[in-house]
Amino acid sequence: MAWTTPKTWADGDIVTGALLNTHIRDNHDAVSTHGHSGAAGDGNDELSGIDSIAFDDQSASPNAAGELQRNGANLEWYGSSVVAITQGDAAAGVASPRTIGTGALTAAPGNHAAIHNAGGSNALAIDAAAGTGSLRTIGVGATAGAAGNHTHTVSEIGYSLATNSQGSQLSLTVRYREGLTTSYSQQNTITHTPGATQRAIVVVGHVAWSSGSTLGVNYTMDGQITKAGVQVATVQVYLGDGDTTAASVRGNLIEYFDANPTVAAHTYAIKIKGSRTEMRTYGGSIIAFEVGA
Amino acid sequence: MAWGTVSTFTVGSQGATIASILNAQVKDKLDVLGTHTHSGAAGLGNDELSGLHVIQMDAVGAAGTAGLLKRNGTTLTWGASGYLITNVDPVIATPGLRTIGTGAQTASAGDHASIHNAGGSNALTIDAAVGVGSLRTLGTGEFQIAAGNHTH
Repeated sequence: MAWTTPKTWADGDIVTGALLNTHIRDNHDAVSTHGHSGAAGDGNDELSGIDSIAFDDQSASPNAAGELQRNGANLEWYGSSVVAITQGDAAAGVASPRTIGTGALTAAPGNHAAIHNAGGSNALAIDAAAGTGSLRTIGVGATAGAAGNHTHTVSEIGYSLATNSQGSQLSLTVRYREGLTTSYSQQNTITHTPGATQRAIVVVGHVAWSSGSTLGVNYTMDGQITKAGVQVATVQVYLGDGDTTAASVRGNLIEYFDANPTVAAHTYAIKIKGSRTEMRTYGGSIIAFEVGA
Repeated sequence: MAWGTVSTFTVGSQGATIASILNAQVKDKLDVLGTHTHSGAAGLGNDELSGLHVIQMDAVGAAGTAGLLKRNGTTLTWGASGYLITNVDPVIATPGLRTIGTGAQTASAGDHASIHNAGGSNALTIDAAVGVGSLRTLGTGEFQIAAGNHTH
């Protein structure tokens, strides 16, 4: 029922049924369902002095801009979409207060790195397929990473020994492969103790490299034998320009004749380096022969 | 118009005209009721509202006084600071309600590890430069790591 500005009564006015209905009944009816729109008779649109507001449960979300409504135990707001003001950890697409946690609807804490580590509650992928970046364990499996200090045993080794009146014959097989560095890296060592004085130790080293395949690049290889860490023999090989179709492979011997060493343990090492890191080495073997009466 | 005590009429009430009675007891009261604010004062409605279903708020700007709740655009604002109660995914330095997502202003789900994995929407760096920690693929490249079962 529409609101009518209440009549100001004057002495002599005839109180009719129509006037009473319009100014008393209808206005009371209007006030009884007032919505505080601010319109005359509908209650002020600025409420003040409110102590509390109790909402009935509408069991539904608001759906028009500006609506504040109770849905179950929660108070919800609709601006341009539903906002769960008081509902913790609402559905992912609904803005709401979030607890810190590891669930799909909780927020991750700012310092959550630990949960992504191995053993964490939300660990990243570990040891994924080779072509997929992931955390890696250290191990020897196909999808684990090799430790930085890992070593390799020679993949193949064998020998045969024969003697005749002229001395000994030795056939030796040593085969392995390492990456190449541009500074000397130790490939193998051998330690020998002469059986007596007045003898010599012949140290024979063998190194093999391959060049890179970059056309127009000069590849140089160096090998050395050291005794107690001091260089005693060296070789340098120039492989020339790279080839665009295949890398050049070369092998070279290095020899050192250690005359009349003391009767003590002597350690010799074979080392190798290349001028460029894309070069490869295919061997760095060393043999010591003791000669003398 | 102030609210006054509503008279209790008795048979034979005298001393007032009908007009003065209607003005004082009806018109003036309706005038007050017509603009009542629920302050709890007599005639202005109870200050504890109950049984409400929905409050539909007009957009009138931000709150700026302690205790005020106002709608500003699509947001409900509160108090002297005009705190944005229903601000959704605001800029990072502003507190607000957050959706779960992968954007710069959304909250990461607690179980979001998959987005950091290779191929995820927020993947960590993979095969970074030497000396820089990162996820690594296996291979023979300069920034990859060797498989555990590699041979030479």
